[in-house]
Amino acid sequence: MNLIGMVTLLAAISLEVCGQLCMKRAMHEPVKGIIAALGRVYADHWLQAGIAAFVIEAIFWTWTLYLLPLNIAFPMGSLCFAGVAVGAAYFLHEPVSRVRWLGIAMILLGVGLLGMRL
Amino acid sequence: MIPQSGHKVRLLLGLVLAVLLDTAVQLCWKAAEPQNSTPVGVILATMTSPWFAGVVLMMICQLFNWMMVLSLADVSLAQPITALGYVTVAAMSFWLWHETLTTVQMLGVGCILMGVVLVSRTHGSYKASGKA
Repeated sequence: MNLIGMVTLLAAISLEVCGQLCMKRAMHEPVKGIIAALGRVYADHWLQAGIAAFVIEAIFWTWTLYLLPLNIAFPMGSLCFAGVAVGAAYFLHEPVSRVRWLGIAMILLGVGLLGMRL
Repeated sequence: MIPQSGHKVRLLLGLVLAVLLDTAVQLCWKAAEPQNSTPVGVILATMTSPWFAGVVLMMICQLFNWMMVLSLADVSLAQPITALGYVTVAAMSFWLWHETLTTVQMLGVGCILMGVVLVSRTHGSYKASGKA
């Protein structure tokens, strides 16, 4: 039962990472006020892509929670932190310190330990 | 940024609320899931469930609560604290649905907690790159 659950989980995590990166790509300058933010939703394709990613993610997360115990699926969602850090370094050229790489390694180790239960 | 003393109580309440809302969103989402269904049926049943209305409502509350928290503290301070949700979700799903909670699982959650704290230390990366 769990292989399909892992696939939907990874799809949800990938969509979360894509959504975060698209949103950050769109919001690199500060927005003043809710009206200005809504205006940008209308105008910016990166922002629209980010929101679309989050909506599709909700569908995959629903399948994931149907297939996997919450105790496994929710902590494994922390792979998003690792994915966003790697994606931000690669696509957005944000600096990633050694401490942060260590954190990513710790998250991967933790997810690996949880995966042993599957 | 160290919050001023008058803001500390609001910040603390905001962080506690953030963890509670995170946990409640996941528990309600899981509670909204049907027992046996087709792939499309799962989506329809979940998203039309009253539990899922609670999920959407709490996500909206969380958005505004999180904006308040971020106005009082750096994201590098606030974000790792929300990782406490991994502990509360594990405890609650063990209690509510008798999901397994082994030593290895707790060890895994412990590693993730430490990892999230390290990843969220944004100041480290800016100092390391000489940008700040």
